[in-house]
Amino acid sequence: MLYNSEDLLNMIHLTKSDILHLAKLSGLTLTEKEVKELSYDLSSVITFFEELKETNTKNILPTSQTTGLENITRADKIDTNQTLSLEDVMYNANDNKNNLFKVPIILKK
Amino acid sequence: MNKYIPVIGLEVHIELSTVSKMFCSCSALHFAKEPNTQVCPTCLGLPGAMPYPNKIAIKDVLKFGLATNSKVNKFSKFDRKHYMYPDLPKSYQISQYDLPFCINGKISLKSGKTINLRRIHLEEDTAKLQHYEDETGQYSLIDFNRSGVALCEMVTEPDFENVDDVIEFLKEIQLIVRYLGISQADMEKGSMRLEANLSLRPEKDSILPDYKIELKNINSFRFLEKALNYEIQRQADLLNKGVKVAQETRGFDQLKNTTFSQRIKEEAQDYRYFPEPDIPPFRFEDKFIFVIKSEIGEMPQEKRVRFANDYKIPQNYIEVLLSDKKRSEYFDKLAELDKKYSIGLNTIANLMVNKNLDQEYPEPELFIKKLLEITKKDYSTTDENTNAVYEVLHEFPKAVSDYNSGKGAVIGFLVGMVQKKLGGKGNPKVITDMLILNLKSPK
Repeated sequence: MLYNSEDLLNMIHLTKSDILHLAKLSGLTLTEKEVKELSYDLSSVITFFEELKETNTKNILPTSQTTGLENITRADKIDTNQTLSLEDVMYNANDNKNNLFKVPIILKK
Repeated sequence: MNKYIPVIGLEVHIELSTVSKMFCSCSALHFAKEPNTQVCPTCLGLPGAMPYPNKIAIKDVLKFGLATNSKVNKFSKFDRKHYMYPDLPKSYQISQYDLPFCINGKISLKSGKTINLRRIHLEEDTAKLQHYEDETGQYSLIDFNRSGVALCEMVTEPDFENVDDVIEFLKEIQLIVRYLGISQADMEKGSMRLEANLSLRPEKDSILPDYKIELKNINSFRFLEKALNYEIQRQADLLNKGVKVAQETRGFDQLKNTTFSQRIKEEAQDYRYFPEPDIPPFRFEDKFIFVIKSEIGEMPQEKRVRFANDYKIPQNYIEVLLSDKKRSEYFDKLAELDKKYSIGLNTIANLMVNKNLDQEYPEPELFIKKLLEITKKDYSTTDENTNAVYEVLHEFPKAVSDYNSGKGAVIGFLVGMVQKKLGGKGNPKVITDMLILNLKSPK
């Protein structure tokens, strides 16, 4: 992606350490080149969202819901029809052992 | 050497004993089940699967909150807590952030000290990881049967200043949970899990320390006690040497009775909480809260007071009987039956606590029957009773006529006179019955 000089001036700049922090949170390993590209790309995304600041939200309550629903619960019952077969459970697994998902070591002692 | 006061706060996780999971209809009974046989798209964290909250789990948490004098947040919601770890494949845990179901609870200790509960919230348990090493290298294995099981988390304020209070508090919490019937709270099976954070402040300084050590993955009260005592000593030694205590998470080594660092570099937590968009919020009416409160029943502390006041049995007996709700209820039944037999509640409690006699007799009636048989020898014989009653009725005609003209209280006097003749060996119940029978029979 190419930016013109005016864009760059008004842009919020995510630093290299911001990008590395985000990469760590996302479990991604990035090359030097990717870090550079992402810092431009993500900065422009965030700059774009800056436009929202122009909206007047003085009398608007924050919300995380749009349906207006409340207190939606289910009875405490087992429905075995929802339970997957072992074959289905393991269908996309890279590796398994004794019907357990096998992944690279997590915690080194 | 400076003197230090421990500053301790606790986090307690309680796995609720609902039959189904928190956000899906899979079975929640995961202990010792074949791996990955109780899972669905929701608890596997597959894209597009929708969470559907379990009503009983929510009620259980409100019950727990009300039983610990907490305030129920009348408006509450779930939030997403993000972190990358294979025990949680959707990369976030559905938990609660700024509006937990319950806040500001209080538990009183025997010393009179109050421990403040910051919050009690509901979340989903994670999958179970096991770590291995063999000829193929190091790897981890994951079982999702536990993933999505309803998990309640209670967080205290850092109000504890000694280890004994911590253990007393935790035992009381375990008892409350068991009385409520919302969890087995079994630490060996992982349905109750403990975390403590601990730091030391100088005795003369009330400012909170600028570090804290988290103790994690401790699966018994005894190990927690040892870990805390070890940590208090370790931190005091460091502080006395002028060394700054590094903020970190530590585990407990059960063989060496020491704590060890689990992570050297602690990065600032960045969970990026935001409201769970797939679950509408909750609004609890006063009536709903009232109904839940009325379902709570007698809590251990209330029972403790009642047993002491009504039964007047020793404190150590009370604690043993209380520690098992069913046993305490069994004792209640015995106490009721004993109103007739007057065996004595101390004797009964003693036979339960020291001889486990209740284990042999599932029915309280049979327990009492057995006790009467044991103690019968000491009572006077039927012939002796008959003679004594006959004599008393003839020696005190005034009392007899008083009784027959409606002064029922005089029976106590007559029982006393019979006992006097028997040298106090009469069974009060038997004598009373015999007197009443003879008083009422036509002359």
